[in-house]
Amino acid sequence: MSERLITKKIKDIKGFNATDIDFLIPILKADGSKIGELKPVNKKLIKEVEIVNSLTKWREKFTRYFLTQFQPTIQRTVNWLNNVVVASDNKVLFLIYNENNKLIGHIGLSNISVDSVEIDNLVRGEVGGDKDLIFFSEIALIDWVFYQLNVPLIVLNVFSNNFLAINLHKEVGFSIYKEKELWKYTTGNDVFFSTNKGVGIIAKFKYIGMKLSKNNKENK
Amino acid sequence: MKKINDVEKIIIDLLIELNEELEGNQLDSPTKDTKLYGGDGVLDSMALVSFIMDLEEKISDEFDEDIVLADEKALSQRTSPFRNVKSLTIYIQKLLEE
Repeated sequence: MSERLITKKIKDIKGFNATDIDFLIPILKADGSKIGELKPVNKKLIKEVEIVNSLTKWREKFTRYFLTQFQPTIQRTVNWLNNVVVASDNKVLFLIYNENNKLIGHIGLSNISVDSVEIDNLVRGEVGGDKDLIFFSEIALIDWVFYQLNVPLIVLNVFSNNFLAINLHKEVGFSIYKEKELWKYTTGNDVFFSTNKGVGIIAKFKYIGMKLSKNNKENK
Repeated sequence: MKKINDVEKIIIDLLIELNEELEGNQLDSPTKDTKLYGGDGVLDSMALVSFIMDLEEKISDEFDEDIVLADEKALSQRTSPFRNVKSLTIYIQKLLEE
């Protein structure tokens, strides 16, 4: 798929084309039974207060695993959803729903190009649904990237101390291909981490790069 | 000894809270033998992350001590502290004693 077609597809599923406003990816177990759905945050969903509240609450709870760590607010979440998530042509945030249509968490794609995409923003904010819901959410998203977007490589980055997420990604099929030092910077009450060495202090954990190619997946 | 019982109670109470949110009955009557993670444990990786964060907060409230449960230290243990309630209780107890 060309860059132009990928961009169009991403814009379509985010509601820029009214016919795709209800786009979703079914989450299927290995036996084919449906255990949930992935819905992209689009122009319609962005207006739902419950979604914004949940995302804000989860951003606060799981902040230690994000590169940027700040005090989230409803307004900050709304701005991020409007100006970054929906506005960017190379980024999508999928909400994870269980089979009873309960919002459970989210998983995102960023840096979408014809060569590769990056998985980010994986959070299980609520309990409920199938025990393997998040595992199969990631599988569903990977299949969509490989077989609908036709992008052959998926990468992701995770803190080395987040070994439970690393375990999950390994179970899905990812392997570690790089490890970088991280530097911690503080500005007022906000903290951010970067792989660029500057005036920050070295972090106690590293930045782990993982990848999964379409070929590797098919050969397993 | 009091502390270890208190820690176990915090974990079990949190599992009971979790069960109320679950739509099934996986955690109907948690005990020290309730399996948490791995094999037929009730939590997947990301649910365990969430559970651990809630648990750290409760431990901090109860004992006025901040501990980090999910880090490389936990990973380096010969057997995972997150297997069941008992192993997690012992691990937390150790961290509180350090």
